[in-house]
Amino acid sequence: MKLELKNLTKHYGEICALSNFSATFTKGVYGILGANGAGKSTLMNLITDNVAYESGEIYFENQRVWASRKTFREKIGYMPQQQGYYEEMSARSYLYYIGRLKGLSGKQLKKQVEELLEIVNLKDEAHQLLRSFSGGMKQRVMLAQALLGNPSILLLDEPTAGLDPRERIRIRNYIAKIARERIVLLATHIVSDIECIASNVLIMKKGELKSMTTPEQLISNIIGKVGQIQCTFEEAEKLQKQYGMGTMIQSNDGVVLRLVGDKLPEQSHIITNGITLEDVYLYYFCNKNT
Amino acid sequence: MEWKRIFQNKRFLIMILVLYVLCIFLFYREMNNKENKTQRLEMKQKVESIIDQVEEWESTNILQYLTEQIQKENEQISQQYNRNEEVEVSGTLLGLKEVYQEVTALDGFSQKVQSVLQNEQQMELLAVFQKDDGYGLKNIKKTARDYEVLLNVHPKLMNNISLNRYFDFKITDFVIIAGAILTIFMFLQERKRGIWEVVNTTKRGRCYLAIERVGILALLIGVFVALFHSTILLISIFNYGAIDVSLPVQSITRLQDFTYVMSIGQFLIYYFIMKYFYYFMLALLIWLVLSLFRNTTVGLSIFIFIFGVEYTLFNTILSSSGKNIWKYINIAGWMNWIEYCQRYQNVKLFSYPIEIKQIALVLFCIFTVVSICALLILAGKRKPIGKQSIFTVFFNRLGSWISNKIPVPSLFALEARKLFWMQRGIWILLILLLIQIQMLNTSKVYYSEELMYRNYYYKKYEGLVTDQTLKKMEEEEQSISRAIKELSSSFTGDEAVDNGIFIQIQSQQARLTALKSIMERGNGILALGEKGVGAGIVNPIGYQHLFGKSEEHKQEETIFMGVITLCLVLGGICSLEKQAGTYSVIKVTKKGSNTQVIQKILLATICAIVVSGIIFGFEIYEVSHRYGLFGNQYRVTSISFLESISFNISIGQYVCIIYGLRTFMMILVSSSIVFLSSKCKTVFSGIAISLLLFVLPSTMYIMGISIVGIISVVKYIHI
Repeated sequence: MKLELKNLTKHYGEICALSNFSATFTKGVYGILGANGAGKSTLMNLITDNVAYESGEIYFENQRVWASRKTFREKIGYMPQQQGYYEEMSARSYLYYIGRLKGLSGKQLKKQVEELLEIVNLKDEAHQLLRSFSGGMKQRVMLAQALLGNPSILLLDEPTAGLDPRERIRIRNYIAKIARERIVLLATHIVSDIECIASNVLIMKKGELKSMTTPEQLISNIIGKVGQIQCTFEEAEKLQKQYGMGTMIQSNDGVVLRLVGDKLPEQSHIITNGITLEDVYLYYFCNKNT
Repeated sequence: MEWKRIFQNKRFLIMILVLYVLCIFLFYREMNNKENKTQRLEMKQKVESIIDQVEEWESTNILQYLTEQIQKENEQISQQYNRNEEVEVSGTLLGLKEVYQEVTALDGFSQKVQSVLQNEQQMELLAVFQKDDGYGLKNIKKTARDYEVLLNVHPKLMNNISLNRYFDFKITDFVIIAGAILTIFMFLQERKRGIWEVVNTTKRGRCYLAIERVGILALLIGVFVALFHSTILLISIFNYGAIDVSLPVQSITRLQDFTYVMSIGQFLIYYFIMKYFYYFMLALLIWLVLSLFRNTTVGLSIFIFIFGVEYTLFNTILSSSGKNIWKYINIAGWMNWIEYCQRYQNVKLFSYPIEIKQIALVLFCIFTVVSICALLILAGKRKPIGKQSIFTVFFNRLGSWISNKIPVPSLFALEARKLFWMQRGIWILLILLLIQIQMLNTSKVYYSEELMYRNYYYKKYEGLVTDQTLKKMEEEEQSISRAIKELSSSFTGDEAVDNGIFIQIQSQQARLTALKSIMERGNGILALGEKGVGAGIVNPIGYQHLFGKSEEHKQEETIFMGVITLCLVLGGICSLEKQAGTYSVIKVTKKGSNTQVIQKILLATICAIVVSGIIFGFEIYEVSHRYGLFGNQYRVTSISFLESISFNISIGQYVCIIYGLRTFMMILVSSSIVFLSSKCKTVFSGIAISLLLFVLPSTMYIMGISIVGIISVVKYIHI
């Protein structure tokens, strides 16, 4: 199973939302990291044909996707960032509706809906109207609809936003399980989600693909570029103004500021163990010296 | 699944039901505008009995008989007037007049057909038409061919009233179009609810879904036509009399120029089908325009603008104008399909005369097919994410520019914007205004001869009553009596001449009766004066329609329209915050509690005043235009049925007080709606609760279930 994106470019007026994006995906979870406006949603919208394409090509199993969009749409499950639903519908009827749109037949659809409701832990609430659901419950319904039809390609935009830690872990584990047989593109700001389940991470910045590699490689790339320094609040603020945003950790003796960048304060203590993807994120997106 | 989503949507179904009930209510209101219940029943019975009696007679005999009947009826009415001032004209007389008009029209039918054919023969001889390929001659020839088929048609006398009332009721069209727009909004809901991207990504979420929706629209329009039109037709038949569907359609006198041979039943099927085609085509066009724009408000505004232009062209271009093609090829004009049927009209198309109905039918087909194709293409090609249209960009920039220029609006202005713009309150008020304009009846009132004279004498002797006034009246009475005596002694024995004298005597007697009733009123006023109650002679007819018992029903219906409007506009005024999820945020602000509530109550008050202004303003305008509101400077006791009022106020002041009180009651209702809205969680539930508590009991009360009056706000507002 292979999804190839070649030189995808998209402008919105004068703004370049995506610039010559090329990548190849096979089975597994691909985490997409990027700040707001990096082009993550544009990428997803181009793959799902929700925005007119400008230039570039998409191939699935070596077939041009835009030559046979309807066939390709059978392979996609999409969960957008925005929670869109019909509030007058119950969770079950909403899933039936999307399932029908996906071309699923009666028995098959019913079975899948019940299974998915079980997976997202909404079986007892399935008859209730969506308007009465909490944000997290709606998120789970949106995930369930993306999984309907057993798609080969799953595009998830912030799938665990609004979920409590327990639910987040459940969903994450499930995504990891199903990704063995499909391509999963997961755009998120929750770095721990990517850390746990992504086999590859794409770093996007201002419409460009900066890096596509494994989490371990990303982490090893910034060894020697992560430092910690004990200081006061005021000193921490000054240092962040100079070196970029860092993580402030409260301690008994004040604040421990963790900075990431090519240039670090002389007095900082360089860390080689315990570097996380969050540090990678800070390195690429918050550092003034990168 | 799409059909299930729509047909199981309770809100949608309730709105369709509301439209249905509104349509029926407005039809009843229109019927009551034309004649009251008693008149209607009398008219129906009279027409049916007359037709049964005379249908085999020669038309001249029928006309003579009807003339005699009308005269007899005038006499009976005169006697009734002496006993009961509030009767204008009986339903019997209305019925007789209707039949008279129908007989006259039918009498001229075959002559009209013959004259068209003769016209062809005569025109062919004229040099100016000798040119074979000239449009003029082609038109004449085509007209003659089309009318020729009517030579063997023999229309019969029948009760036209029920069909005329049905055809003249235009509100059904607007209600069905509103239903179609609601359906289209259901299709476009995915855009507003943020689900478009998900639907667009599915296998059947584009063209397949669009095809399904076309089918749903086609089905729903069919249901609307069948339900709404047949209901109005049946109500009309029930109230005005049955029809014989086997008679030739030209028996309906307004359709004598309908150059097709079919029965009335066949015509009604044809009419329903044409209406269906029109609504379906129009709905597709609306859907297409709304789909072209990502912002549905922009799309709808553009469509309304186009429709408005078409409507204006239809109403302003004359049929005889050289530009009449813009009148007849007109999407707004086609709504009045009955006018296309009752008028024979050819237009020039590439030097050939083509009948406007045929052109319309072809265009219906073309527009329908083109719209469907365009919608399918749009469904396949249009992306959820894309460039905004130039209109949206323009309006956004205009909005930004305005926002930059004007200071930050006050809390009151922002609340007003929420109510009238975001919650579409302004649209509901505009619809109320349109309905009032549509239903405004400023047609001339038919009065019997005696009532005409009474109005004349009221005008002549309007004002305070003195001995001089009575003396003048007595002199006039004597003059009329002398005239009657002279006429009575001038019969010649010649039937024709004597008939003429008889009619003059009738007229003078009507005049005398009228004058006597004014004299009686004058004496009554003098008697009141002796008791210390001042009054003048004032024609009460207009005030009867505003305050009189006989027109109570109409007054209550007017108030009912206002109550419905208030429920629809204000029902969600407080529940919007809860629905939008901003309630908890607003409540913790400084002005988010008491101040905001006061602002909302103030807004509701203004809304109630505006609504009252519209409904009562139109009521007063209609009455003053049709009947006149005379002598409002005189004391209120000048109106006979208001003699018991002991306050020393003028009629004008009394009118102001009554309408002021009614407006105050409307304000109380609006405040109650605000209170109810604050207890609801959604806009829809707020509106639903208001309709349930205020509109439902009032509906039942107006329909005659008087026991419900105790909980009907209309009864309490109707002071």
